[in-house]
Amino acid sequence: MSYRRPSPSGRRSAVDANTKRLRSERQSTRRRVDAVVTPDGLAFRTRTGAVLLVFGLVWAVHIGRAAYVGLGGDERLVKRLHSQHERVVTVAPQRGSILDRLGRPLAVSVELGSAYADPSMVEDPAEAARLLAPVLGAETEDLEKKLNKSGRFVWLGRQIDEATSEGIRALGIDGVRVTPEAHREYPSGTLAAQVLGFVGTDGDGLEGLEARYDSQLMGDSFRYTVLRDRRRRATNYEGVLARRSTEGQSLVLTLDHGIQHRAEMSLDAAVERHEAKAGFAMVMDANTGALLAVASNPRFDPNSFRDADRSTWKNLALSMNFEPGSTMKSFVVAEALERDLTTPDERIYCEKGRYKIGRNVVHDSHPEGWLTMADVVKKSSNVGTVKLAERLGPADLEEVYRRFGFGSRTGVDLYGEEGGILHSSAGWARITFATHAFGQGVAVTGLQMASAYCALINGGTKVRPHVLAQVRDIDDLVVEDLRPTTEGERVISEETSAAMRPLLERVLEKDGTGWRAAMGEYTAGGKTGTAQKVKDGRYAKGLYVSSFIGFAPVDEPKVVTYVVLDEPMNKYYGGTVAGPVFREVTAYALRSLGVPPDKVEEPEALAAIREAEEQEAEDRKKRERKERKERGGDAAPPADSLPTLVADAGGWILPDLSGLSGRDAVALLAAAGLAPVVNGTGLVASQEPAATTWIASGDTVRVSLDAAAKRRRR
Amino acid sequence: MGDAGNIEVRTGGRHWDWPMLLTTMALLVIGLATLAAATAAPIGDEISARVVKQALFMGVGLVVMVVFAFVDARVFEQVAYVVYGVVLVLLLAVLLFAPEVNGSQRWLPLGGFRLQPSELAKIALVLAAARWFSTRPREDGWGLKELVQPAAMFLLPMAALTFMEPDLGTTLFLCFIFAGISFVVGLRWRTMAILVVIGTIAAPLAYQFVLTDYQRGRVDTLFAPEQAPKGKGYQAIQGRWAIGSGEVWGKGWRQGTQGRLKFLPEQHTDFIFSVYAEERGFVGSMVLLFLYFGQMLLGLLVAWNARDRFSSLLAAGIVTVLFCHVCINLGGVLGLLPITGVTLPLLSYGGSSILTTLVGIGMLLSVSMRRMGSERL
Repeated sequence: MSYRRPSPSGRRSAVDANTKRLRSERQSTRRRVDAVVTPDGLAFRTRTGAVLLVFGLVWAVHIGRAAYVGLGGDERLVKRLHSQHERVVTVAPQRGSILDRLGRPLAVSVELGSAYADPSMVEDPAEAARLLAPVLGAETEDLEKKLNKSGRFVWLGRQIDEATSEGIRALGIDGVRVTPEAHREYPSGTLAAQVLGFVGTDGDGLEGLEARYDSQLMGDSFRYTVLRDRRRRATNYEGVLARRSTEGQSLVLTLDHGIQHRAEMSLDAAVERHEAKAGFAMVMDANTGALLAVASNPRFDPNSFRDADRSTWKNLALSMNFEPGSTMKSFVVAEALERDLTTPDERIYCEKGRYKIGRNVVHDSHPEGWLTMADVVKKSSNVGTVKLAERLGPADLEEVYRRFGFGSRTGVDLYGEEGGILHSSAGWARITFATHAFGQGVAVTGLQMASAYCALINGGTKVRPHVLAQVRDIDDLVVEDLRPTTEGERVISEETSAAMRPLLERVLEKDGTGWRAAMGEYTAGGKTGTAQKVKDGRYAKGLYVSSFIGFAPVDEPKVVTYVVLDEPMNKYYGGTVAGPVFREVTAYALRSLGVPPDKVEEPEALAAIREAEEQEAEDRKKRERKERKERGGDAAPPADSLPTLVADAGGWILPDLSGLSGRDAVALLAAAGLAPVVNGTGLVASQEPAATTWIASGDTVRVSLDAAAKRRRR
Repeated sequence: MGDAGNIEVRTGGRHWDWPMLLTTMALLVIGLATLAAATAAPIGDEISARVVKQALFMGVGLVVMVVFAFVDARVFEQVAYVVYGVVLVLLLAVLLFAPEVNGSQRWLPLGGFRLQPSELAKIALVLAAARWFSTRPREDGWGLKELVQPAAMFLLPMAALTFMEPDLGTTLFLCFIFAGISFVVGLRWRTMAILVVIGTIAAPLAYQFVLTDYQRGRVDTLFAPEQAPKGKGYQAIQGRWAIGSGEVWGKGWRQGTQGRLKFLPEQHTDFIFSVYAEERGFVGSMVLLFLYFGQMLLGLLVAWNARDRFSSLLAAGIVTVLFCHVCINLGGVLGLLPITGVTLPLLSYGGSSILTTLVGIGMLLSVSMRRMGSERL
């Protein structure tokens, strides 16, 4: 086949002259076609046809295969693809908090890291163990053993701190990872430990409120489907918005962080001072039965509950059955008054401390002759009380005890409550009946006794003891209010209750058994109890349960405080051992609750403040009168506005106190459990720390007063 | 035809091979849309940067295609050997300078663009073989003995260099091209039979002694992909699941879960057909297959009507390249052939692939414009 190179001129002609180009092109192609149309050329066409045939065949195969693969899919394939693309994710919700009555946190959940390994992914277990050991603070051999396991998952260290997590991540060992895990924290350590209880490492409530309200606190774990890619990363989170509603709910308790703390401190000191085996102290709202504090000693730290002796997990205030002693006498007296079988002034012969009942003798520790009924209470005479009880008879004594709630559980919203022991009066011997009158031979719980006293002095109606106030959701909205709304049933008449209060108040007088319980700023009433303990079926010498129960203020009781020490060694009279604890705790509680002091003797500092205030008020009135006269109008005097303390992270945000009266400032700060220190007279001119700063409960706030300071205006 | 006077040279818009142009444009549009689906993030509507890059290559490719269409086929003939030589040098440069990626050297980094000379080798081989055979008509056809010379001159150097990369897929590909052209120029039927017999005997031997473990694995998984669903068979199984889950009408554009959740390795390049089939279903797959089939049919027509032997062989060679690309790629995805790294022309992501394909189609258009105008007579 001949071939001619196209001349440069030929190519130029394609641009220059159309006709010339066409001619030359035709000439050259004509010769080429001659070459094509040879037998070889015909063969070429045959070959092209064959190629076409091959194409067609291959195409048919492809189409057939595409149909087979594309249309042959069955249900199984669809299912497999779903399982490949979708994953059900279970999100464990964050556990709700437990808060005190003012929202201060008692138990909170935080996220901590937990290190785990997929042993099949760890290339060099020995090397990995060597690197990890110092970071985790573990033995190299132990880690190596774990990393050599055959499974695909092994914990290396759970709930480790942030620095350790970072250290592990920084090592970057393949197959070793850190995952966030919820960790329960009790910021105040041992505070109210037996009430709160604790949760296990896997987040299940095991004791106390954590166990009882586990489902509310835990919330519902939330499940939703996500698409996941080849690397198993989830790619959509459409369900996240719905998650909030299933978060754990928070419990708001009736407990007060400050009062609880005070109760624990005072109780611990008393237990130590008197070498007692155990003890408890509780503060109850006299009208509602709300528990403001429940302290139990010994205590444990729920942050490390495993290290504690199991016996310390018990809340003695509701789980200990014990013979209460003289504190029971009040109910005998109350019932005798209720039935007009006695009056406070009636004189009763107390047999010089020895009263024979059959073959037994009832003793008084301080023998007396004739006493008024009121003095029988004040001196806690066994003989006098037995004589009053004899007017009732065994059946009625049992009945009155049962009416006040003894012998059965109070139904408090806590686990582990005991019901005390009150045998049927049908089986009582004469002496048993007698001892029941002064609180021996009958077993009670602290909760029963405190509840019974509430009814005794609050006007005569029963209370339902409780520790839970509200359940709130994650947005702090109240889901459920659990405080009792109905009035409790009447146990004794209002008159009897009113008569009991002054009777019990006299116990705290200088020559009463409970004089050590008297407070400086508040009036109070109460009763001591010193019970002998039974050991090996007999009353043992030297083993006592010493207690004091009281209420304050006398005219309008706000709280009932009950303090019990089990087996104090060096002193044992209830007034001596438990009285001071009552005094400290009750005074603190009343201040915290903002109850104005009601004792006539005013502390000097307050008296000075009050006088200055009165003087100032006088001046102001004069001034305002003058101003009004000058203006000629009768504009309403500006109203004072009290600032508020805002609870925040276990402490408080201080408001601007300037312009407040000294009394208002002190009341405000004391109610929040802060310690005010006041200087000067007049109105608040400056404060330390400044307004809007955060301050922890119990901290000191210094307030300077100045007569020239401006009154706070709205 | 058959008469010397019945030749018409067609240039200018009127003489464009519109059907060829339209199928090409349709394939490019499908390619871009499928790439947008294959590279889409699992959530969101964002268009991947790769789509933009590919569109850019398509734009450049189309310009190059049009330029090539205007060039007279004789120019191709003239530069055929030069092109062959340059590509041979490039292949040598790959072995000397290219960085090793995944155990083989294939790409020459050229300032931001990675050139894959093995793609160019296919066109170069077609050009050189077409020129050589066009001046050597043999009425009694070609036997083995006569084929030794062209094979040694053109096939062997390129096949050896690509084999050393190693890029066995391209080596075999070049052999197919050479075989295709030999067949068209008149391979004797007897010789062909001998070659088929030799191939049948050599294949198992090559499997046993020439192939590496990795390559053997590819062949193994063809016959039993379920043996290693997470390993070597993973791609094949996932690809087939994707196609199967598309059913008749498909899941819709960018709705394919296999694709969007990135279950298909190389889903934007070699396995792009799986993404397309999952989203477009069997019906869409048929449309695509017929487009390719139509394009090749048109290519054969161009070869049939070419005005001279070189043009004819050039067209036939280019069609062979396209055919092998489509066949081997779809064969791999559909489970008819072992999976190789062969791209699907005009759909797979990759500049070299798009550019060389459009250059080839440009040459087809050039030949087509200057064809014998039988219909004009």
